[in-house]
Amino acid sequence: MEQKDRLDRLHGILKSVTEPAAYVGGELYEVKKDKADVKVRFAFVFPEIYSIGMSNLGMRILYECLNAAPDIWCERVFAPAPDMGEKMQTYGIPLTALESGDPLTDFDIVGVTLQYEMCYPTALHVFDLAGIPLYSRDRGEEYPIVVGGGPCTYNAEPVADFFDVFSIGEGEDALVELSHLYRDMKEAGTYTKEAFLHAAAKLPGFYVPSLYAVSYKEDGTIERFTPKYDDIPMKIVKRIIGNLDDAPYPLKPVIPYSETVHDRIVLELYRGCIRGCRFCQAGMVYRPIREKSPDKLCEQARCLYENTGYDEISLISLSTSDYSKIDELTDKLLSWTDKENVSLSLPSLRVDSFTKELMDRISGVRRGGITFAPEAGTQRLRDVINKNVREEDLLRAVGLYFMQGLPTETHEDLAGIAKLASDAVHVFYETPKEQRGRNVRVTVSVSCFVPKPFTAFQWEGQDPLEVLQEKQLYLKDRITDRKVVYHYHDAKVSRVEAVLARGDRRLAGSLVLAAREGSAYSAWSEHFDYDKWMDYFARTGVDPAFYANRTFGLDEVLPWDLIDCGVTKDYLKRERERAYAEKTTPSCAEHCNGCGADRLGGNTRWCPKKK
Amino acid sequence: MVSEEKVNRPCDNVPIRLRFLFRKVGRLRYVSHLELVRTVSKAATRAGIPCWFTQGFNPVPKIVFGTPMSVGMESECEFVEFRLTERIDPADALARLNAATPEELTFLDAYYPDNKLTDQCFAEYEILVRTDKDAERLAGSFRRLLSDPDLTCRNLTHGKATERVVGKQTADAKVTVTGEHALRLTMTLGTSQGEFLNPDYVMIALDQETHFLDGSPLENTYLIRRLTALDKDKKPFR
Repeated sequence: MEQKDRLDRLHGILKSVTEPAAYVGGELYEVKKDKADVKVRFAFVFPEIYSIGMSNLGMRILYECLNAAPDIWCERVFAPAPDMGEKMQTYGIPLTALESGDPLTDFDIVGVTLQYEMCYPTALHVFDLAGIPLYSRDRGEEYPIVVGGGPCTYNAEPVADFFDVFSIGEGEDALVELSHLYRDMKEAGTYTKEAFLHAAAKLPGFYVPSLYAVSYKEDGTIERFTPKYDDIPMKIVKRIIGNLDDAPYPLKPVIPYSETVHDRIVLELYRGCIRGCRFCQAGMVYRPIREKSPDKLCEQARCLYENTGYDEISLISLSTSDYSKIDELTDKLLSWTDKENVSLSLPSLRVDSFTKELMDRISGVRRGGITFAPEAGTQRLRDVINKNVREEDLLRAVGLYFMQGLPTETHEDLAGIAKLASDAVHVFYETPKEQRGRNVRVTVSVSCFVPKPFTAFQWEGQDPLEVLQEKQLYLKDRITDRKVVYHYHDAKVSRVEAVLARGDRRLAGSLVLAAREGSAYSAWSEHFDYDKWMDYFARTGVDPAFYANRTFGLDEVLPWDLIDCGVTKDYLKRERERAYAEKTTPSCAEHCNGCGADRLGGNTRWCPKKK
Repeated sequence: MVSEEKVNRPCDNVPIRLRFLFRKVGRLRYVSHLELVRTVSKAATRAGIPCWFTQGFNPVPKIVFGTPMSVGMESECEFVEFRLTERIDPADALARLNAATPEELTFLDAYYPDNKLTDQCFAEYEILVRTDKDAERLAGSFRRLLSDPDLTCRNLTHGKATERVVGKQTADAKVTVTGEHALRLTMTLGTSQGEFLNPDYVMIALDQETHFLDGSPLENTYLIRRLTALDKDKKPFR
């Protein structure tokens, strides 16, 4: 009855906000358990609004894994949209989990997934709405343990002061182990926050930042990390799932009433990437490559279709057409999808392994345009970044993604973007009338290079803001073809991203200001205010250029040096040298380049020693 | 030029209409009409109901709903019709659809109808009001206002001044005091095209005259529930 009362109490507020259904739960397949039957209550926080968070595959997978354990109840928590957040603060309504309607302070563990740097202030805003003190050191025994996960934990130093522990790598087994450690210590009566964190630091793949002190040199760079105990590791090796066919996969994902950003069945073909694009963090940190079998994928697709009723299946991974059995898989799926009015989509295609035949085959039910990501405008720069694509392959596209501000970039490279786009338009008009569509519009989307940890370009400084902006305008002038539409990202956002991506613990104060002084939703362009961010940095003694624009020393201690993602620093250094020599590196399918990720084991497809 | 295809729409050649009656209460009240359309359409696929698909660029099951409701309202009597490619057992379809939908979305009945959804012309509503003001006094004001045929709701949409006279349909409305700070209103309003009146408009009009919603929304709010569907003679519609 308690919950019903609360919902009724909120009726006047829910009635007046946009998308109230995002705050009440009750969707198909949400997991309900009896509080009395469970030993660990886990609140899984996605620091974004419901319609974005509910699309996230990682969250669905971990919700499945945690709830598969009978003594753990995992519930979902999302950041409220700004209108709801404001009302919650005005009327003193705490943030609650969707399944039980209980406030976050009732939980044992609060897990927060950090998907991109700009969500840091949103995560802190969620803590504020939940009544959880921001800093780990301010949270006594009465508060839940706060664990962070997701891609940003490869350098979570900017938020290290706010989290008790980070789960590094794939969380399927890890989060269940952490929850059971909590359960066992509670049952044995040995639980204190300090004892628990010490024990967690000894579990594989867990980083407890408070147990490592950081000292800095006079020039502001890191001197060293000093562990508080002798028995905790100096390198936290990321966790991986060895065999993806055996790993739990959500076959009954919670189905929202509302339309979410990716409203379809999602099949994960494999993890990792055989390419080695030198700016790309995902291509490094998800190694080694582990594929699922076509039979397993087909079985899961059919089951998901029957359970969800979605009319689209999206085959996802970092580069879908690199899946070694893509033809076999699509053949098997097409044997029933067309009949059932289900369409297939391949969102991440690489131009070089892309075949027209593949595209023709999958476009049976619904048809869309083709988008490629050549990233750079000239072959020279594509060699620098190791994006091995050929120009003639690109010209079939109607959407092209590029990055500007890449190391060694010149104006010639930028002009190449404009040329490539108009060449694509020309190719269209050279195609005989009966073989082409009615009209053509080539969309060019250009983002700014952000140096990321665990990439060959992790040491590079970002172009100064003025240079990035000048380059954007230069390209704008160069694009004269009326059939080409030019979009570019706000360079100011990319600069703040660069600060956070390579930041360290000294950014904590700025992030608190961002969360509390109007930048909690900085991931949304309409809520992003660059001048405010510069003010937060200035007031907390942070020089953004130190993190964003400085070229880091090759022998410098990096903020993320405690983390081992599999790929070694030596490999990244070699790749950096090859970049400056304009030498490409072949893919894992052709040749093993010795990145080091095979050390992690697993049922890998390409790593030579594991074959 | 109107093409032949448009005049003779393909779905008109699919005569099999299966109608479902369902409730939309509890948390479901926050699900918008569009979201409900999506949910029911996916549920039909999950339930294995042999839906007829639209023949366009994006084939979707052909599903037609009765009068939509605003977000935040509940209903005991909502209708939805599916076009089918073959005749199926309604009781079986009902069971399968209920198994394929969230707990709170309950389908109550399924049958092959002999009338059209547009034959529903009225609906009876119940409105529960919670207020931190004196309920007796508020009830008096409500009764006076609801019996005024000129009662008007203004500024329904942001930035655009619009007016809707609601008083013509509220003469029969009843107001009961159910507690120190609680009221219950009942009224029958039009649902047919041209005559449709959203009960929210009546409540907005009352608020514009009495400001009963002023103060905290935790203490001052109302909940609308559609109780019964009625035909043109105000007899139960099924």
